[in-house]
Amino acid sequence: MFTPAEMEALLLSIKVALWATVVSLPIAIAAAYGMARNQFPGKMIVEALIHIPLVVPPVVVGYLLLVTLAPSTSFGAWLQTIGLNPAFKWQGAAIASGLMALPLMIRSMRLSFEAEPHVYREVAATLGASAFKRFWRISLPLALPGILSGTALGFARAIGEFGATITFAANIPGVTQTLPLALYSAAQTPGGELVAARLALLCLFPAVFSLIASEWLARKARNRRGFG
Amino acid sequence: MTGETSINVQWDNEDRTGEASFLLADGVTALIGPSGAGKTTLARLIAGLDLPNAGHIEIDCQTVFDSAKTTNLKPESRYIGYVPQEPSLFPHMSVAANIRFSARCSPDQVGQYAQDAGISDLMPRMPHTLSGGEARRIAIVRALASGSKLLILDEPMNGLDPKRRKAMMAMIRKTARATGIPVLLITHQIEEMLNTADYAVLMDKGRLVTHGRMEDVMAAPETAKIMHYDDAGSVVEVLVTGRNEGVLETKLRNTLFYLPDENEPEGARLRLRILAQDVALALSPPPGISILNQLPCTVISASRRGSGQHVELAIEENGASLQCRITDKSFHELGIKPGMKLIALIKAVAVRELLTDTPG
Repeated sequence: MFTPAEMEALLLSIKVALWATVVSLPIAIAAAYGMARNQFPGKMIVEALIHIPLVVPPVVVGYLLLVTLAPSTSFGAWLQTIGLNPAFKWQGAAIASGLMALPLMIRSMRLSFEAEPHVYREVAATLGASAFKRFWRISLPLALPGILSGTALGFARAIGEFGATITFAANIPGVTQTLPLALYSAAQTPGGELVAARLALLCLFPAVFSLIASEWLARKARNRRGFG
Repeated sequence: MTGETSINVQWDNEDRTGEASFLLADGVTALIGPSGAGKTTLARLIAGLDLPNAGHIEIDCQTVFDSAKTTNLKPESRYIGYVPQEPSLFPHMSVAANIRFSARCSPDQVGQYAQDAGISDLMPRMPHTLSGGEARRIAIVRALASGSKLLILDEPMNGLDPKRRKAMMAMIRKTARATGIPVLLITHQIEEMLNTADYAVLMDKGRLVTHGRMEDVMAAPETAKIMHYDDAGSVVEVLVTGRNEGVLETKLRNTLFYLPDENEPEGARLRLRILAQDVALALSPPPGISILNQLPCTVISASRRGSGQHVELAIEENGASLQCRITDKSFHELGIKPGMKLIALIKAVAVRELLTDTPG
């Protein structure tokens, strides 16, 4: 049905987006929880920094990654010597798309943490539960629907990531050429219209699947406790 | 039996300031006052959920807060079971998981608490399938299971129908007796205090007004004023000594007092409410009358209250206090004045029984 090249791009896209989401998930949860629960000086600045990938053109994010991590920079050169430089590798694509997905994930999770009535964690404290236990057994499970939808949103965003990826990881078929990048190349090639259309169709699958899966899981979590 | 529990705090958060200082005795202590009196604020300070400005809190001989020594234990180290007014069962856990959440008592002990509270059958249920009364009882069992040394219940009868309210009051009293854990019961209802508490702490506008034995707090004139409480009357305790011809014989201190027999066992202590309007006065024992209780009394004081006269009496044999309400006409015809000796007439069936503590 699909050519090996198309399947390669699809599988690479899924691999990149999965890694981007899995690595971003704990960071997003920690940031969302920290922002929802704490008041600290400079919170506004941290909030603005978190939202940068949402408001600047993705190319700028890719460019910033490039000027800090490219092998031509001193930090990039050092990373290169220990074999961990992500530029122009699939790991680079994962970093770029993870960074772009992060603010979306944090926003959705933070709303969930903020929506939790404080009575549960207060009572849990009087019952003798430590701060970690209150987070792990109360706040985290109660925020689960928001965490799931945030994760799905992040995954979909990572699958669709284009600008930051092409700038930082480049467009190397079989290495960093994810579905959107392959679609872009096909559209640039004379006579590539059909291939472009097939790739566009292919882009829908992982994104739609992740949204449906998260909605289903979130509904299950809500039904168990009797609302929604 | 538990060690000393003393509360002494001042607070000043945002728009509310206040202070309270009292020793907490074993048994049920009602923290009573109108809404906005600072009852919940005080409860949260004791539980460690909010920080007092100054003071000293000692639970079972352990200092949990002291502003001078900068001691401030976290709520999780205070061993205070706090059951707030709003639903607090964790919605994503079954009843059993809620109770197990932080159980520090043995499983047998927890099972006993659950059985006493009548919630054993609810264990597999999820909180959203429970009634308000069931959820409150489970929250109380959960607090007990966590090994609390003090139980704070914030308006546990709120929103319950009269039958469940009565059952809840009985359960609270039974729990306090069976476990020996002191209970601080927050309420704005005189009725709830009368039916559960041994001691009372009256608060108004962030200040502690009076505290002590429930009967004494009930008799204090401030209580009637602050609680807008018109049903003047006295609360007395009697001991069941026997029964005769369908009538219960009890002792009010050393005075024989008759009550309708409702199968209270001999040796039981009853708490009675004698409303001032149910007490009549006579100059001498009237012949041929159905009223069983005819107690020689001395007038302590008399004052006009509402549309009639309020007379404070002391039972001659033992000085126990009685209150009586009569019309101006009767008052003047009898020529009542302090020091005068009278017979107080109390219909046995007019006496309201608040609670029964059976022996053992």
